[in-house]
Amino acid sequence: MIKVFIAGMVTLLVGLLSAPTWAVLTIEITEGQDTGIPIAVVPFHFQGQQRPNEEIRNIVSADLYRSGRFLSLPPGDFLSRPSGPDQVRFKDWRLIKAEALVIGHVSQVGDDHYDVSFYLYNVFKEKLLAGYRWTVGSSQLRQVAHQVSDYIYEALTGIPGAFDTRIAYVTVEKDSSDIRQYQLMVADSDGHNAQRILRTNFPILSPAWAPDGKRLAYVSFASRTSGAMIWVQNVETGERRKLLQEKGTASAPAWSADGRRLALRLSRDGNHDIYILDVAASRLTRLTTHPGIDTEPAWSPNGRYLVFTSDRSGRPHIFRISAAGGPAERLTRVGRENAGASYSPNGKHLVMVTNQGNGDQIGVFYTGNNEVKVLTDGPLDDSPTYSPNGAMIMYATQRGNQGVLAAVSADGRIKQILRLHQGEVREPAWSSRKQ
Amino acid sequence: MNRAVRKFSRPVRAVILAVLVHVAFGLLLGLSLSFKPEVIKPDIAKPVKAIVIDRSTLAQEETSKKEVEKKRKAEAEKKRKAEAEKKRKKEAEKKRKAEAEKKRKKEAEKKRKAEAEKKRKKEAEKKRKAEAEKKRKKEAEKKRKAEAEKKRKKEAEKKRKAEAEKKRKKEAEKKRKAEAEKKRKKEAEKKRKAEAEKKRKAEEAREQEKQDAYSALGSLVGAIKGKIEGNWSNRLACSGQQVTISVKVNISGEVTAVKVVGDSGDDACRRSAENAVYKASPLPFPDNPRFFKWLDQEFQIKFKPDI
Repeated sequence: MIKVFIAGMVTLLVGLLSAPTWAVLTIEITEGQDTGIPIAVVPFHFQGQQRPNEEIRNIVSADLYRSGRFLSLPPGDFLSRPSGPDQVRFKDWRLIKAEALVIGHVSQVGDDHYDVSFYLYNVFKEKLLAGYRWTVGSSQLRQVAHQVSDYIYEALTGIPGAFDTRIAYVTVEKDSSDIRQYQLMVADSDGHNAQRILRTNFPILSPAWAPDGKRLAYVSFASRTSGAMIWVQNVETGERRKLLQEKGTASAPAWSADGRRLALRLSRDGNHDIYILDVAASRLTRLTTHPGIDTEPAWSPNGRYLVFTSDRSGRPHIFRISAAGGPAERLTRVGRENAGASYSPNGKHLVMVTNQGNGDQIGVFYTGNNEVKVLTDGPLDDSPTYSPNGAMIMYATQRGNQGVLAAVSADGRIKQILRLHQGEVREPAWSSRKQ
Repeated sequence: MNRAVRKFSRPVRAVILAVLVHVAFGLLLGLSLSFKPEVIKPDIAKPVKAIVIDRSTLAQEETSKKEVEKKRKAEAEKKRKAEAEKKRKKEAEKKRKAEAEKKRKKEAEKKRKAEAEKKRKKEAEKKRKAEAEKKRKKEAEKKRKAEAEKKRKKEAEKKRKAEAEKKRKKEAEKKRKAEAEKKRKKEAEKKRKAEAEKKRKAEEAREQEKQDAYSALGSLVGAIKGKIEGNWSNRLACSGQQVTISVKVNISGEVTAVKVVGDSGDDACRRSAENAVYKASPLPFPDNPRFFKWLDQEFQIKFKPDI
């Protein structure tokens, strides 16, 4: 949803006209186009025999667009296509009102070896902002492109980029025998390079990245009748360890910032409550004891608090509790229901599923003033997860009758469906660390 | 007469005084004014002298009186006869001498008188001449003086006239000059006023032009703002921040310089603001070239997003 701003005032500080000197005219600008930074990303010049499949320019352009902070100008408008610094004519880019210019080239330097270099310019200041070079195989070209995007993003927004990160999600599809196949998938942040790291005929729930960006905690089942199991799996080695074997249900493991503890919902004591699991010692501590349902815990970045969803006041709402226990404080009072909250990386906002009468939408709760800003259209949006830089949110939604992943910029302006998979996609989790 | 008196000694003066008394008496008795009385003069003088005798002599004469009386009488008769003879001879001589003297004196007197007369006449003549001379001189002097006076007066008059003329001319000149000065001042004042008026009008025109320039720019503020806002593509970068950019433009409104002047936000915010200004170039700017000099070609754009 795009917030509509009321036109601001023109502040015209003009001195008295009779004054001998003309006081400095000051014009106050409050409004903008919010189109994002117009950036020209020139197709990277290729030199070599085997042109790789990956077109870096397109990956970068898509990354920048998805972030909502950039307006990638169409190459058809370009007046020149420089590939090296000596070919840049800034006037060409000022004319099309590009604020930033990205050029680069890819040179094949061996069998499946490529030299990639890129340059980022401030067009109006005619200043080089960044320049980097890689030598990689063709399979790493997408990652190079995401790193290019990260450099651009950080140089132009001041915020570290989060394109060269991974997401995890769960897919469900039926095999030829019409048996459901559950898969735990890991992909680049744009959904490409998807790799299956687990497949089972029983549900996989709530994947959660450890702060190291390598381990995933999730819930799975050994059979239709078994209790829930909590696993931690190293996505690079495939090694996995079962932390808990419950008789009842379990869900929503959430890593503490130090990676030593998992908060999760268990029902082992006859009630759905929040527990904290010491990962190394496999020791559980019960955090909530309320007779209502308490679930979906998430740590504050500083580790002092957890937020969770509870229906203790009737409908589900977000509550906050000290990591050391004690009374829980209700945070959300706006909307019918709010659920599945997690902290933004700076700890100032919560992203959550909010139902304000239009179904389930993704909203941001501002802890400073307790306001909720709704970002998505609903009505079946779910499982929001912040990008590590807080600039984007990925969530699960429905298109047709199928669950898909979507990304929305933190300001809600740019939304994009990630078409990754033929089947149903659920429960995305955005890695908190770069690959 | 006073002059003569002073010449003589005291006794002589007494004599003269006596004469004068007799003359005066003679005049009183109505006598003729002849000079006869002057014969008396020597007689009076002698007897006075002979009578003076001392007392001892008188006593001796008393004692021998009878003896000597006869002798004396004989002697005296003899002597008297001698004396009388002698006296008669003396008298005769005296009378002759007196006659001679009288004649001589008369002659002398006559001569003296003639001399005196002559002298007097001469003196008178001299005096007259002197008087005449004096008078002449006096006349001459008078005349000269008159002439001189006349001349002086004439000169004075001339001078006075000259002075007066000079003064008049001077006055006239002065007046003329004063008039000229007055006129000149009047002209100058007139000219000054005209120039002041001209200057004032020029000033007014300039002021008007300035006002026009300001209002021309003022009326474009909205357009400037709109164009910059239309080019501010990354407002989010300045969320919660504000940045002020100083912008310089040329006569066409083209942005020639951009500088962050205050309230600097972070790099991304600053860059977004700078780029908005650059992209908005040329900014709407009064196209009247006369306005350009009045407009500070530098103004400030404050980017302060309401987000």
